[in-house]
This record gives sequence, C-alpha cells and structure tokens, in this order.
Amino acid sequence: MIETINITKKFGGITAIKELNITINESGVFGLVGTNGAGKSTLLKLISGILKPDDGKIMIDNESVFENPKIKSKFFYISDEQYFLKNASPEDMKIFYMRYFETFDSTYFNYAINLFGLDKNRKINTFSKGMKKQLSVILALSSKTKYIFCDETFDGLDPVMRQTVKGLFCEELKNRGLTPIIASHNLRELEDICDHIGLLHKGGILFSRTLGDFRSGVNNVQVVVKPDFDINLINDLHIMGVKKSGSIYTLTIRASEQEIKEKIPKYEPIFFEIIPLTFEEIFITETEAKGYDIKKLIV
Amino acid sequence: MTSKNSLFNLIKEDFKRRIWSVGLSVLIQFFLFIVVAIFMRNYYNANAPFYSPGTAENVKKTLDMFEAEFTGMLSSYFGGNNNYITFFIMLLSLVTAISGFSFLLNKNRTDFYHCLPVKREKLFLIICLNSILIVGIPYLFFILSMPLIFIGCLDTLLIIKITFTGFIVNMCTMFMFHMVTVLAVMLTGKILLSILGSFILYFASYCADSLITFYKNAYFSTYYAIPSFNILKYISPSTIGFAYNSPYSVRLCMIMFLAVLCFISAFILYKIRPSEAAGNAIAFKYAKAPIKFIIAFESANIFSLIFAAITDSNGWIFFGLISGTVISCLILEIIYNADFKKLFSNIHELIIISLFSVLFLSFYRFDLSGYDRYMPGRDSLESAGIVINVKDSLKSHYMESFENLKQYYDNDSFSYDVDYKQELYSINDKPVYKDYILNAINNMKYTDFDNIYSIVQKGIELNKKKDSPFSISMDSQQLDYVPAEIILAYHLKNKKTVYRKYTVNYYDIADEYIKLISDDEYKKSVYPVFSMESSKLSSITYGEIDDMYLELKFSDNSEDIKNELLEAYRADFLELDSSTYTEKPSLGYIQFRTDTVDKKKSEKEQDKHDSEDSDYYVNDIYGIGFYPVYTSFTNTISVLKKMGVEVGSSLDVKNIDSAIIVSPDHEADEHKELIFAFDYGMKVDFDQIIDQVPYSVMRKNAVKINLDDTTYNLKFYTDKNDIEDILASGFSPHYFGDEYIRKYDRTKIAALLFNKVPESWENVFSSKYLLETSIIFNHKRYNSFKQFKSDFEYKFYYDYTIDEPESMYDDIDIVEINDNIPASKNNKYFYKLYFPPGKM
Repeated sequence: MIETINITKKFGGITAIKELNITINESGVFGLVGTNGAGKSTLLKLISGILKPDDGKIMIDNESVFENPKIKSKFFYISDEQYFLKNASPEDMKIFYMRYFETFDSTYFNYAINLFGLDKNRKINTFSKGMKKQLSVILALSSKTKYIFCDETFDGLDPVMRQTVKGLFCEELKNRGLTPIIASHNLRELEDICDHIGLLHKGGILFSRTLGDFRSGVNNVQVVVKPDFDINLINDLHIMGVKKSGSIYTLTIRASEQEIKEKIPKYEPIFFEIIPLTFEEIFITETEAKGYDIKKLIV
Repeated sequence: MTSKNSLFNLIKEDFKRRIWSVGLSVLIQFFLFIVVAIFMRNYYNANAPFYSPGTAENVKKTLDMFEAEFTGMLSSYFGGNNNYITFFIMLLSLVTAISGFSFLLNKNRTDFYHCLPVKREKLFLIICLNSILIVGIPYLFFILSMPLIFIGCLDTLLIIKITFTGFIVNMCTMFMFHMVTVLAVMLTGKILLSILGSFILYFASYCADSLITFYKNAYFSTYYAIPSFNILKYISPSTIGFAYNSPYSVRLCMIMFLAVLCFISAFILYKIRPSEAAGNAIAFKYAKAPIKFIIAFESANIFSLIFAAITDSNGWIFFGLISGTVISCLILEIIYNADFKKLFSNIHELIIISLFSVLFLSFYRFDLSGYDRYMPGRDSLESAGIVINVKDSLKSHYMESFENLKQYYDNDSFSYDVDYKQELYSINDKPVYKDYILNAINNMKYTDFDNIYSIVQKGIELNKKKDSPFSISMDSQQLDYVPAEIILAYHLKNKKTVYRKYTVNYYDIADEYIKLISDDEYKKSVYPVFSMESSKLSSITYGEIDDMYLELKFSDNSEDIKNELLEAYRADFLELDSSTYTEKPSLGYIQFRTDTVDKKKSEKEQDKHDSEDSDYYVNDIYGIGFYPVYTSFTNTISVLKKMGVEVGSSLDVKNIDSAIIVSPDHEADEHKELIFAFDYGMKVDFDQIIDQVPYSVMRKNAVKINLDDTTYNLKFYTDKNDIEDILASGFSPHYFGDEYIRKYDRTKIAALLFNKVPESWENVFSSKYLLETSIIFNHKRYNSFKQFKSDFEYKFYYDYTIDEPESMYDDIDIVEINDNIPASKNNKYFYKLYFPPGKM
C-alpha cells in the first residue's frame, strides 16, 4: 500500500503539492488524473523518492520511501521524459537494470521485446518517441516490481500499442498482483484500465474513488412523462441534473439502477431508459457538485 | 556473495558510462609518462659516458656523476614535483569529477538515478572510487613499465622508489582536485557553472591570500612578512597542489587534509541536495549569497587594482572598486536567475558587498587600524630584536652579508645552490637561511629601550607611505640617500611578538645604528659564530688578501683548539667597538665551516673542475659569511698562531713584485664621471683592464690606454720604496663597505702584483691540529693532503690558453707589444687598493 500523509512540496514560491493525503491499495490500477500543473508528476516523483516532501510522510508498505533502497526496489518509475544511458541499446539497459533490480526477469524482457517488435541491439537514440515509451514499459514490466509508476506513459503510444500495454498490465496484475499507478490528463485513456481514480487539482486531491463507486452511484435516465406531469414531483430520488429536449427529460440521478427501476414507474412515465454514463460525464457531474467547472479542468 | 547489485557490478556499470574519460586518461598519461620516459631513455643512451678517456677510476667517477644527474632528472619529472604533470592531473581530476557527477546537472538524469534502489552515499562512493581508478589504473600500469624502459640505466629499486613516490603524491593531488570539483558540482546545477565553480574553488583562497598580502605590502609601509599559519593557504588547492618547496610529508598532509575536508563537505551536500536543483544555477538557496559575496568581493578588488596601476587617485581607485562590485553582482544575478528583469532583485546584497569592499580597501589604504603608526608602550615591551640592513654598509663587506643575506639568496646566479647556502648559514647544522633575519630578531633580546624607541620613532616619522602600490619612491634616486631597512620584532610582555619594517635614510639613524651594532646582544643574535658548537666546527678559511687565503681542516683530535678558537673569537668580537670596524681596515678575514658545508664545498670544487663552471660562481658563493680579524683580536691571533698561521704577514713588501696605478685621464674625458666600484655600473672596470691589457703593456711606465671609449693612465712601479708608499696610502675595498668608499675619490686604483705566497704561511703544513691544509693563490692551488708532508705538490687545475684575438688591443695606442699575456694570467696575483683624495 502506498500512503501519503499530509505531504506538501514547494518549488521556490510555488506550492506544487499541498497537504495531500492519498491511499493507493495494492492489486489494482490507480489512475491519477489532473490538468497540466496539477501536481501529478510531482506526486509520482515524491512517491518514487526522487523528491523529498517539505512536510508530511510518504509510506510504501509502511516504510518511508526516501533514501530507502529496500522500498525503492519495489517499484519502477517511468518518467514522462524517460532517460536512457548514452549510446545504450535495449540490451545495455537490460544489463543496467539487472544490476539494480534483483527481481529483473531477463526472459520476460526478451519476450516483451519481441512482442513489441523492437531490436534489442539497436541504439536507443535512433528510436522514435513511441518506441522509447515502449521500451520503458518493457523494462518496467521486466523488473517484476510490485508497483509501476507511469507518468503520462500512454500518451505517446499508438492505439494498438496502448491496448497491448494495457493487456500486459492486466496480465501482470492478475498473475502477480502488480499495482500500476498511471498519471494522465486524458480520462478516456484511463477509463478502460483503471480501478481507482484520484483527481488532482492545484496540488490537492479533489476525490479518490473506485470506478465501480463512480459508475454505480450515478446514472442518466431518459424519461418521457405525461404532458401535465411536473418533473419536480419526483422527490424520492437524488436528481443531480435535469435536461429537457422536447418532451424528453434526461435526468442525472445519484442512485443505483435497481433503485431507479423500482421508483420511476411509480410516476407512470410513458417511457424511461437508463443510459450508462461515460467516465467523463460522471466526472463532470461529480466535480460540478463540488462546485468546480470541470470542463475547465479536464481535457 | 554474488548479489546482482554488488559494489563491483555497480562500479562496472559506472565505468561503462564513463568510458570516454577512461580513454582520455589513458591517452594523456601515455604521453606524459611513456613517451617522456622513452625520450629520457634515448637521452641516456646518447649521452652516457661509457667511453670516457682516462683511468678506470675516472671513467667510473664520470659515469657516476652522469647517473646522479640522470637520477635527478628522473626524480624532478616523475618524483611528484613537476608542474606539467600536476597540471594534467588537475585536468583529469576535473574531467572525472564532472563526468561522474554530471547527472546532477540534468533533471531527467537526476530523476533516473535517484529513483534507483541505491543509496546516495553508495552512488557517491562508487563515482569517487571510479574516478580514482580511471586515473590511477593507467598511471600504475605505466609506472610498472618504467623499470623496463630504464633497464640497464639505473638501479631498478631506485626507479621504483622515484616513480612510486610520484605516484602516491600525484594520486593524492588528484584526489584533492577531484573532491574540490565534486564540491563545485554539488553547489551548482549547470555544467558550465560547475566548471567555473571548480576553478573558483581552486584559486579563490589563493587570490584572497594574495590580495591581502599585496595590500599589506602596498599600503602598510611597515609590513614585514613572516611565515605564519595562514588558513587561506591551507585551503587553497592551487597553492597546495603546486607546493614543491615543502617536504613530501608536509605536502601530503596538507593535500589530504583539504581532500578529506572537501570529501566530507561534498558528501554531506549530496545527501541534502534536492533533486530539483538540477538545472538551477546554484543548488542551494542559502549558498547564493555567500558565493556572490566571495566572487564579487574578489573581482571588485582586482578591478580596483587596474585603476591603481594607472593612477594614484583615491577617487578612481574606489570608483574601480564600486564599479567592479556592481558589475560582478549584476552578472551573478543574471547567472542565478537567467532573467534580465531580475537584475536588481537583490540590491541589498550589492550594497552590503560594496560597503564591505570599501571598508576592506580603506582598512589598508588609509591604515585605519594605525598599523604603520604602531609603537608599543614601554611598559608592555619586554625586549626587541632589530636588524638594520644598510645597502652600503659601513661594516666590512664580509660582515654585512649576514644582515643582507636575503639579497644573496635572491640572486638568480645562486638560485640553484639553495642547499649549499642553507648549510653555510646553518646554526649547528640546522638550516635557517630562509628565516635568517627572522631567526636573529626572534632570538635577540635587545633591551636598550631608548635606542629602540629612537629608531622606531624616526622610522615612523621618516617612513613614507606609498600612495599607490605601483609607485616608486623618489628618495632612492637622490645622491645623499642611503637606504637602510630596519626589521624589528617587538617581544611583548604578553608573550606576543609584533613585527615591523621601516625603510629610512641611513644618515637619519646613523647614531642609533652604531649603538646597535656595538651591542653584545645584537652581535650574539646576528652572527652564527656565537651559536656554533665547537664539535660541529670542521674547517676554517683565513686570509688577508682576496684570492690568497688558507683553508684549514681540523683533525679529529682538535676539540680543544677548536673550542679555544671559537671562544677567543667570540671574546674578541664582543670587545670590538663600532668605530673600529667602520673606520679601520681589518687585518684579515675568517670563515667558520661545519662538516656538511665542507662536503658541499668540496663537491662544488669538483663540479667546477669537471664542468668548467665559472670562477665567479664558485668564488662568489664562498665569498660571503666571513668575519673580520682586527689587530685588536689578540686572543684569536694567538690561537691562529698556535695553529701555525702567521697573522698580518701577507702584505709584506718583499712578497710584492710590482704595482700599477690606474686612473682615468680627466684631460681626455673631463666631462665623464668615472666611478670605479663594484656596483656602480662602470663601463670598463679595473678587473677588465688587468685582465685584458697585456702585462708587457702595463710594464711600460706612464702608458695611456683606451678601452671602451674611456682613456686610462697606467703607471707602473717596481721600486720597493714606491710600493711601500702605495701600501701605506691605500686601503682595501673589501675591508670596508662601499659607503665608506663613497667618501673617497675612487678614481685611482692600484694593483699589487705578487709572485708567491707568504713564506710564513707554509708553517701551517706542520700544524698538529690540521688534517688538510691548502693555500689558495689566485687560480692556482697548492695542495698538501698530509700534514707531515715536507714537500707540497703543485697541482695546476687550470691551463690558460692565450687565444685572445688581436683586435682586442686595437684601441691601445702603444708602440709595440712584446708579449700579449694579460697580467692576471701571467702567474701574477694582483691586489687592489683604493686611495683617499690627494694620495698618489
């Protein structure tokens, strides 16, 4: 488990992270969402032990991470601008990481390299940006660490590779309980892989919730009511938003599907249908409820 | 243990990362060591005297000398005292340190390394160790090759000793420079600034020390530099790294002290260095101000010196100081912030640094502390040590050399015989030459307070402060000005010693000077004869005429006579009053030597013989450190007589062959000022005349010669009565200082030509106290190696070949030349006399 307790980090006069408390459980994919400058990279660097918090504590598996090689051997950090040794090839990087990570699996590395179609003896400085990202992921997965911290890793990958990587993550998660923490400003990227989402804004966490909790809590219901029916009469459901288009009302209701199916018929609608929300729609709804104009926060 | 992340594996990985610096290290050291060694080997092969003519003993001796010289050459290059090697070691240290820690200067690389499961300490140690190995392994390999390269030249063990000594010294130096550079990297966040920062750390404290010393010398007229503990020197890598004058042990201690200090500092800084500092100009926020202070302060003072070199004006000098401060502060702000708009963001720092710089310069320039006016109160003064160096001393030319010691050592001609001088002036074999004056004034307990304060008061009054560090005193160019340097040590009652130096006109302190030099305490402190133990006394030189003297080496069972001689001389010397030795000629001169001095002298004589070194070098270096023997020295004369030396017998008319008086022809050159003296830069001096003019020419009575645009009258005498008159009228310049001679018209000089040594001197050969005796007569040497030998051998080391071109005599308008052998080379010894006005 990764836990931050009231951590604060400033750079000169700028507060990047302010009194942040977050808990990341094992065996799940954690998505860290936020706009540019929200503090995602800073948070990941703090958790990776690269930066030292000005205040607060960061614990991984109940131990402090800063200057702790034992804990650092439990995670692999993929930076948004990953660095490789000068004039190195993937093979050289493999040997390098083998020196530092006792759990590094050379066989898996060879398998993954082939899977991605990369030449392990070719100089990395001749790779494209996407290929470098692929290599970073390969090295991270091959290190067989408990956690992988990915800072906007998916952004440079093509759709096929994205899916491949997601597949590998899921496989590792299933086989050995890998816990990836993926930072991104792209909600759509995280939708189909994350179990848990944390939204970062201006150095603080707005909320941190499982995707199931998000999805199960809020639904869109399209209702066609009788002409003289006043929609405001529906008072036994938590209606978060109402939109009308002609005679069709679209209600955003914080309630389970079951509850909606039980209660809506009482109002004798002509027609009603439950439409699942997209990740983005849930986000917008939730953050607007907190008073933020989410459209300004998220791409 | 075969853990994947073992230290060895991590070292290997780091090596791979720095492979280019390994290549550079190998390349540089290959040329520095192997190529140079091969050059030296070639030199040896080409020059070793395997086939010298002469006996087997001579051949061996020649070869031994060559090997000694070759060993010296090897040692000076490979032994750890070489500028070029130290410079390249410094360069390699810079390269390895920057290459090792450059990851801290780039954000991505810092993140890469700091997220790895390895502690910073381990990473730090691995990189430092690797840097040492990158330089040390090739160096060691090349050193191990040296015995192979020099096989057959020198003893293998000797080669190993020399090269390994150098290896240890140079690697310690490398470690020091490396850690200083690492410290610079820790403080900065950009590669260019790390390199600049390294050079600043190398030289900053040296600059600061030089600046303070310069200001003291420039603005404190009474400043006297003494060796003292100076922290700025001990933390200056450039000073320590190139401190070849210090013994190895001291140098290594200083190097390792600084290296360890920087290692610990860099280590601590790395532990606390934030990763986000990568890419910033300065890694630590609180280091910005001190770094700015040091750089701006030193730059400002250097800038003001540029103005001081051009003008004496205080306004301009302080303008230079302020503008230097402003410019350097602003540049640093741009470097720190990389933003022109923030140029004046720390204006308060600029003001503080400016104020401090002004205060610092004012402290020296205006003597705010009253340094030059310092004079302790009588109640706080316990005693004093004073030495007064008068350029043209009234004392004997020989004796003045003790006070004026420094000028001899600073003379370039003597620069490569430091060891000999050190031993000559040692007190009981403890070399003190460098601190000779300091030693004298530290040990002196002069308590004539009236005289002390009279001297000091005049010193303070008369001492002029220089307006500019580059100005030249006009006094020294006046004719009635004889510079006298007073060096003073106040021994205070609180056990502290304060030093001062005054430069005054001798005539203003003449009375005090005479009083001082007559004092027993002064004599005992200044002249080594008072400290010499008789057991250390090995030989003496006694003479009455230049270039005709006795060298007497004591035998093993001569303790009593040695002790007697020293005691006698001390008693006589203490009795000597100042008027005697400033106004009367001495009878002779004596030099006391220790065993080590004798050995060195003998080596030098051999060198002279074998390498045809100039007589000037050998004779002049032996020609200092003599004491006078006056007629009043009855005790000394008595002991010398016991030893077989007849004092006062040299200048016997019966030994003198002829006399020549030389004087300028005023009628011919009445507008020219002619001065015959050692130091007054005359065009043609007396020795040149005697050396160049054939004896046959000189024998012609009343001759005019023209040499180098000057016309001289020569008058030649052989009549004994004339010679006796000449002897009675003249005086030897060597018995008096040139100051005394100034009072006289020295435009007439006589040369007395001898054709043999005084017979009375030959008694020394039968002395039971002496092991070896030599009579030195001009350039010929009469040696006797056994005291009981009745006949002495005449050994001629020099054969003069008369090969001067005839054109040398073109200007001589003489009717005929019968023989063209110059007098000085005609087995004649000449002895110079000067005459007072009106005489002769």
